Amino acid sequence: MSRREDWGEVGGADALDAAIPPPATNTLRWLQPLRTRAVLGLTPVVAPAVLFVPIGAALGPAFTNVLNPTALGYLEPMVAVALAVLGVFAGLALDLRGQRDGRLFAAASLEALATLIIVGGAFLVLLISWRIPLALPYGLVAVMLGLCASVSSAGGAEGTSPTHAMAARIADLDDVLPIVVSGLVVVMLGSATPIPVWQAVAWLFRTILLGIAVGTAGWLLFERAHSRAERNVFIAGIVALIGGTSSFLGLSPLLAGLMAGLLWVWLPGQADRVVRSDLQRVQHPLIVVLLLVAGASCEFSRQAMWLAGPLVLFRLTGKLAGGWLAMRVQGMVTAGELGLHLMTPGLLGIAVALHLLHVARTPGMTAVLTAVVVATLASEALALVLRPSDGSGA
Amino acid sequence: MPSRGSGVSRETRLLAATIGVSLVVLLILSRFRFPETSPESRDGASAQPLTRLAARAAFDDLSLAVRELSSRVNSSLLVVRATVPTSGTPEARLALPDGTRLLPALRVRDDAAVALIGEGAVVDSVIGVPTPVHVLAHDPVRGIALVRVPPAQAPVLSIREGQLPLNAPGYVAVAEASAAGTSLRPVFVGRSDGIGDPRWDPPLLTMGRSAAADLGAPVFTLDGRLAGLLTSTDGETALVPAAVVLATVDQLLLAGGVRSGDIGIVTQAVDPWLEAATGASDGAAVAAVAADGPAGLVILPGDVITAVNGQPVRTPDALRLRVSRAAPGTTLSLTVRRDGGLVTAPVTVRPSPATRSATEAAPEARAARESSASGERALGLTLRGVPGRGSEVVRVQPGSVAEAAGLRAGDVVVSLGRARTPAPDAITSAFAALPVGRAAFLSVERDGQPRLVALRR
Repeated sequence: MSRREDWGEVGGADALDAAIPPPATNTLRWLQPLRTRAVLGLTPVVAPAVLFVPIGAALGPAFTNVLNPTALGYLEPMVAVALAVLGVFAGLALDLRGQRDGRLFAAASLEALATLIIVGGAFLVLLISWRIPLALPYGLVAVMLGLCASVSSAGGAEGTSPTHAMAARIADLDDVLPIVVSGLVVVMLGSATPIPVWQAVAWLFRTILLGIAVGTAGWLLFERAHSRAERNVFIAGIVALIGGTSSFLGLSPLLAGLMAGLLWVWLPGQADRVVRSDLQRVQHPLIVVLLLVAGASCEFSRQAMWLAGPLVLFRLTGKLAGGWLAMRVQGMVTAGELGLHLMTPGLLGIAVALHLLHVARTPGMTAVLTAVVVATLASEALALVLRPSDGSGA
Repeated sequence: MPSRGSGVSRETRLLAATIGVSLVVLLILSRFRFPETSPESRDGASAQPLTRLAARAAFDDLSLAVRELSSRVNSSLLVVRATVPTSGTPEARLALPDGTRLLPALRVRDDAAVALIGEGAVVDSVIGVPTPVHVLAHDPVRGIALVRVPPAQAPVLSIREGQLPLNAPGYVAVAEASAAGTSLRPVFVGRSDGIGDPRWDPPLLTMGRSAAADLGAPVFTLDGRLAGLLTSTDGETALVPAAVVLATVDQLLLAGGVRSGDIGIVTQAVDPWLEAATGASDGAAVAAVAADGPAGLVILPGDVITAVNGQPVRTPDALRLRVSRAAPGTTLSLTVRRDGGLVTAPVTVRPSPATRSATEAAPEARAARESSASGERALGLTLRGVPGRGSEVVRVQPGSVAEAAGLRAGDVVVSLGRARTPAPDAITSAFAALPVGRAAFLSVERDGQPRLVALRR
């Protein structure tokens, strides 16, 4: 996901940021890496994944075992809530007003679809050729890798070019298709036996109904809140409810959150703005936990390494091709290199892979998550090299 | 954005180059094969280099790990009540006084669960389901029952994974059943080896004695994979791997049940007397062959079947199980010890409700073997002809070869080697013609049951 307006940091500036001014340039420079937006001195923005995933890996069972499997099990509910928050933000981004936004959404979906097809297709060929032992259907693995590769983040909003502004909007909107498809994959992975597609679609509709039901309840609660504090409690409770119920029922918290967010955008009132501003305060620790758990869940096996390298290359191809197509669909900004603006993967891909691992905790899924994590970090580094020629972007 | 030097934009050039590189890489990589997993990496020693540096999980974490696993697998487990045979099976020892057992069943489909109830057992009910139990399919030989269960409220545990060896020494979680529900118990597996079982083609995995009371229970690894179901083979507790169970379940769902096979022979254990006569230390000695059966033309009384399709068969019961689970119409390759040598005989299985087995070795024969002395002795048989049946034993002389072989007054000799309905003279002549140390095989009927008797000169 990307942030809008002032969301340079994960979730944007919060009350703490406002209260504590940023350190002066010449003082305490060594503390700069502790701020996610300037870690390692890479400007303008480095994704929090670069900082927290390696820390999680270092704390995980593959290294120090501070976050041992039992501790990771206890953190699963928090991850589910974090996924719901990400889904809500994706839903809130679907505030489509007018034909221009509609074309942007179509362009974003086309860009995500192109990446999904390119990455998924390439991996289907490779997996069949390699006969890599993942104990999962190769088609499903290819789709999962394509899904995780198709999300993107346009980095910070510091870029001033029209292309970057549009890329930031497309990066928000291109999460929708992967989230919906991941809802299907979650159902297919979670079933004990192979299930027909229509049955998976039926479960998908249950997820949508769950999101709508909880979203409606939340909307009614927000409207009746007497104070800001009360409203904050309602919002936190509703998001926890979305994450908890969908996780318990084996459904996708991302999709349920997306539907709730979308509902709040459509319903009359201030629900979307209220939720957006309040969730920014909640999301920081949740996303940090999600990234730490993702890092700790990695197992750097041979299978994962075989998957990670090609994933970086095919994602690059997919994003460039998707950006090339999206630019021609939206038809409003003539500047090119949209694909390069979308190179930064963000953290939703890791979140999707982690959620799929929680649904089917198998060595094959662990290899997929590890490959996605490694490819995400490599893509972040690649995005620093392949900068758009207009100088903006990540 | 168009570049300054050419009409092709940087984006287009980059895209073309990336597509080209991707295609070349795809072509090159698709020529590779993922290397086979080495034993070292399979046991986790080298799959994750950093794992060697990791702090091991504390012993106290085990209960937390099992608790966390329980929350994941509980929706996949149900409890069934089964009536087990009163004796003769390992499961019978575990039965309650009323002859029933509570054992966990594993949900393999949203509306179906599999239970390994044991040979001859039947499912009475599913605990918590008031309606009469609906058995979708039953494999009496392997003791597997598929029962209909209420649809799950949520997608169930993912269990369809490849067959993996048990990580021994290490812990697994074994499901336990009670009237209140299911629970998981950690069980330490010190060593796990492959072991053959006539009911299953792939080898099973031994589990040690700590799970001996959990026959039929699903077993999970601590990271939540289904390892398999527990059974008993040759007195050992063994694990039927998950992939084997699920393949059988698929077959049952497809066919709706299993038709037992039969090859029309009656066998008995190889006792020391038969061992001395045939040279076979174990196997299934053929006591009688149905003339109209599939084995009628290729198997003879006195043969000892030692293997089926290359898999050793050590007892008549093992042969019965192996033949019973063969689908009618399939051809089994029987390895037979005959006249001191090994021959291979193909036999096509026919459907049969049951294959009788004379598995009990005659105590008299055992006693005779113990008292037998080396050297030539008299046959010691008084016979009279029975038209259409053969020759009836009227009297057995004490201390004779006939007594040592276990013959008794009233036995009817129905065949002598390949010759059916032999006359008394034919029997005595055949014995007299035997070289010292060789044996003639009689198929006799005693109390309506066929038996194999070896008269050794």
